[in-house]
Amino acid sequence: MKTFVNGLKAQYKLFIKDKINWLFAVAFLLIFLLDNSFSQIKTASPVTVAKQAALFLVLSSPIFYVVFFIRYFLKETGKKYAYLWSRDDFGNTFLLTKLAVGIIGFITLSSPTLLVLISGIAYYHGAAQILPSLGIVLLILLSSYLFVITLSSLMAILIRNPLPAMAVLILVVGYLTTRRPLYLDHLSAMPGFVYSSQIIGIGPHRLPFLANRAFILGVTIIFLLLGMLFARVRLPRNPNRLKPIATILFGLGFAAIVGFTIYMGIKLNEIGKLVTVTPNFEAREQQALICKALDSYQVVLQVNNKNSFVHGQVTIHAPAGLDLSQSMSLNAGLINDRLLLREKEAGIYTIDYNGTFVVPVYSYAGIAYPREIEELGFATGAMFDKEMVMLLRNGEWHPLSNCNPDKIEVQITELKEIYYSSTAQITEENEAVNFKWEGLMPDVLFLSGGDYQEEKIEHSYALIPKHSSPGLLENTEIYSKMVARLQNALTGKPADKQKVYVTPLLSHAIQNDSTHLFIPESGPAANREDKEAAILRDVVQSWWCEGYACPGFARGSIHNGTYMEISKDDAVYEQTALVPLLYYASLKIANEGNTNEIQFVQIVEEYRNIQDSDPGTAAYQMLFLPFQMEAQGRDIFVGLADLDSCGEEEYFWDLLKMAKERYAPGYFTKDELNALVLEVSGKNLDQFGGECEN
Amino acid sequence: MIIETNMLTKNYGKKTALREVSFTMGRGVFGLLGPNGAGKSTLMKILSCLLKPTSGTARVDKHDTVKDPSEVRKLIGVIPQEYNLYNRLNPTEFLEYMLLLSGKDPDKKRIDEMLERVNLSSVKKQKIGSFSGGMKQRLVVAQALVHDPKVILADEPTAGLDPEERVRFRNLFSEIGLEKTVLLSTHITEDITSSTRNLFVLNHGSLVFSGQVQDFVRNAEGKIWTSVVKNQDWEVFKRENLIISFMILPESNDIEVRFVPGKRNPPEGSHAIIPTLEDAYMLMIHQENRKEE
Repeated sequence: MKTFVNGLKAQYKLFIKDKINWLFAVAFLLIFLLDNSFSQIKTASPVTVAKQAALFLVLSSPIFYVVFFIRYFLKETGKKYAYLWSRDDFGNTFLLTKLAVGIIGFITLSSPTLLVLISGIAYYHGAAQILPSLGIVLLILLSSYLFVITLSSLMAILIRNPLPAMAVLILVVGYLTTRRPLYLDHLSAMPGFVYSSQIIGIGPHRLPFLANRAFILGVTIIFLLLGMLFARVRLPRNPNRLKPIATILFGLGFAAIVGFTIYMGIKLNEIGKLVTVTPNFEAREQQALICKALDSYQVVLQVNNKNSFVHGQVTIHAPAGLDLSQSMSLNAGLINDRLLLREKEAGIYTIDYNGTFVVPVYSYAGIAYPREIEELGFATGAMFDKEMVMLLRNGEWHPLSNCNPDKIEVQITELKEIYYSSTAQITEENEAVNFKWEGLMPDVLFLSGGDYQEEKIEHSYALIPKHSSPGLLENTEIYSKMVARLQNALTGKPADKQKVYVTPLLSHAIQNDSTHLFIPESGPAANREDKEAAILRDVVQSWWCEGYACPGFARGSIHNGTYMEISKDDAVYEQTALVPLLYYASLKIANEGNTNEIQFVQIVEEYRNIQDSDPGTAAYQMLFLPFQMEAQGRDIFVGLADLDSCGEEEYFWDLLKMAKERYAPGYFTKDELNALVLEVSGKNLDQFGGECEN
Repeated sequence: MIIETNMLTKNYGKKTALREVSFTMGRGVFGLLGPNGAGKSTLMKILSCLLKPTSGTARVDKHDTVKDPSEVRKLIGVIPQEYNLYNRLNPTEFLEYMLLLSGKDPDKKRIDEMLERVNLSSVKKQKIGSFSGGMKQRLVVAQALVHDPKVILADEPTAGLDPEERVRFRNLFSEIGLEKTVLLSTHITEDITSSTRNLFVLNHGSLVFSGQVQDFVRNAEGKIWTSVVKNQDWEVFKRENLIISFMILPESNDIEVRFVPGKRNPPEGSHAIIPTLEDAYMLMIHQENRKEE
């Protein structure tokens, strides 16, 4: 050990004194300086900058590092270093020393960049932000670099010629970094942006993330052991005699790590299959008919929240001979394990099922899905994780998830803390907590557990998961501020104090004395102002759906405005006047908060000036606007702007509140909107433009 | 015996680099002579545990170089024919590292002694990259000695050195030979005559001589002649005799030559001389090559 440490010191000195290696440090710094994270170091949150920088660096820098590392690794394997190979400890510690120097050397060479990063963070955000930011950078960078360096060592030993080894590694690392899998699969050694979830500590990413990291760690160790094995025959010296005990231990260790890796690989494979399933549309379609036929639908669920294992039993009263077998939209993980459908007696059916609830990726991935999937909204409707449970009424944790149960009973063991539980009867029995809902029940039933920490933010305090991914607190604060701004606009009074919970799938739950909103995750926004406007659109539409998890809002579909369907299955975008109303409301609130009236007026004028007579030009003009709307939507939007600027000050807010009272969470048509306008102002919507001019 | 080889053979594909070489060595300096490609470096690599023989065995202090290389490595110090040093280190740092790799603590006193011995004390804090070829060569000798090995394997250690350095090296090897076993592989015969009486000669992978230098030289007695040859007869003379060395006499433009006579008797005016090691070596190599043909 002493020899290894001393040898490591000496080799490290050699690595660091080699000026060529510092070219990597320069390249690393340049990559960081060219990335957005550096330019946003002042405006974005520290953890956002740290995460962004780390992800960008992990996708772009290893391909350079392998070149420097291979050059260093193979330096002494040429024939002019025979005097070193004739020394016993040089060969004995060669692989491990080189590997360790590769890792420590990387940390050293990346230190100027990290110094710039943490200095910037400390300067703009305070010294307290240094450690969390640095932790994120090192976690993301080191896990990937460990794999790359070990892989490089193995390749170097096998090929033992710098140029071919570099070429092979550039190809392999290049492939691994440029592929974009749907989820963290077996080849996601450098996961990059795939796991840039809002929630790392908890949430649906956790299970595949942990399985992926464990598998990759196993592969890394296998590479290391293979490297040690090949080093015996590939390094330029006679291998030492193997001691029986060392051979046995090596063999056992190798078998154990191979076993572990295979196990994690199978697990990852299983999770992968469950994560990548697509919704069962056929079953959901059939449920539309089945639900109407049910006399009674009751669900009893037991949750062992330590390992997400779920056992459920459903009792259904329905006409005899009903075929339920093709109409179950149960989570794939639960079907996978056991599912037993029985007709106990005429007209009474039971379904028993159990398994591990793995949330499919279509429920949370930040990528575009076909419209039919997006429209399903919170189809999976549940999250079971380590000490975390979240349940939505119509989720695929019970077989006929589209049907509203008459009764739901949930039994949870080892429950830590309940953050939200809607009007349930709660009883405790045998170290388990039982929740019972009967009759009409809200969409969101329950939120509990999770390793949360409390953070004070403007207008509220937030409960966010520990180890949550960067930017979460910043986003949470914006959500809270936007809810406060909406409430202030609607009531004219300062907003109530709020509690904000960061939840899996739903993103944010915001609760105060007068409202309780579940807000889906915001879409991407280029800067803070855009982000506020985007979040306001989320907030306004969540307010519209208050108490309901409107499917059309589930994935923030209003962000790009390409469609809008709320509550009614047959609603079509062209018919609804809701989108322009909510969009105008969000823009107006954003404008009032930012006092950037010129931009607001300009946006209204740009919508007004779109030449609907020429569809091509209109489509081109729409490209530069923040929100896509059809011609009718734009007319309504402009009409609302005229109402707002030419009519009485309270007209718009009265209209909005009245619309919500009458139609929420559903939609309404242009005629219905006009009727509301008439009621509020005594005039039709299209009269206001002319009035104003006069 | 410190070093012992038995029927040592090394093949590179179809080419045989060493053929059934057997010898033993005790303490002292042993010269290993042979032309390029004779198998000297292959033998040195096998003894240094860098290469496995195809067949046969090599042992250092009874430890087999294949079965027990770890023990052998503890006993040897290697002075390679070609080497790269760590140019960014200074000699002290370099020798510290070499001690570490031999499983020993960095002993400052020992390092200073070594640097003193190879006359590098004055530059011990200077980067190795700034050293001349001779200085580097001395440092290579120091690294081979610093961990106090029983055996020194020196492959062409004086190649490229100036005469003064070479003399210093020969003396150093003689001194080392008093307490250690030194195998001095070279094709410079003077290195051997001035530092040892023990000699091995390799040619085409075979050990063609093993014994005392004087015995080797005695083989050539009466076979080495000198003569002065007319310039116009030189081409014919060269074809008919084995030339060991020659020089043009400036006053007459004739050529004074040391040679081994061919099939004909030596020309008139020639006379036999006392052979040197180089003469004997040239003769033996010539004879061996003719046998091969």
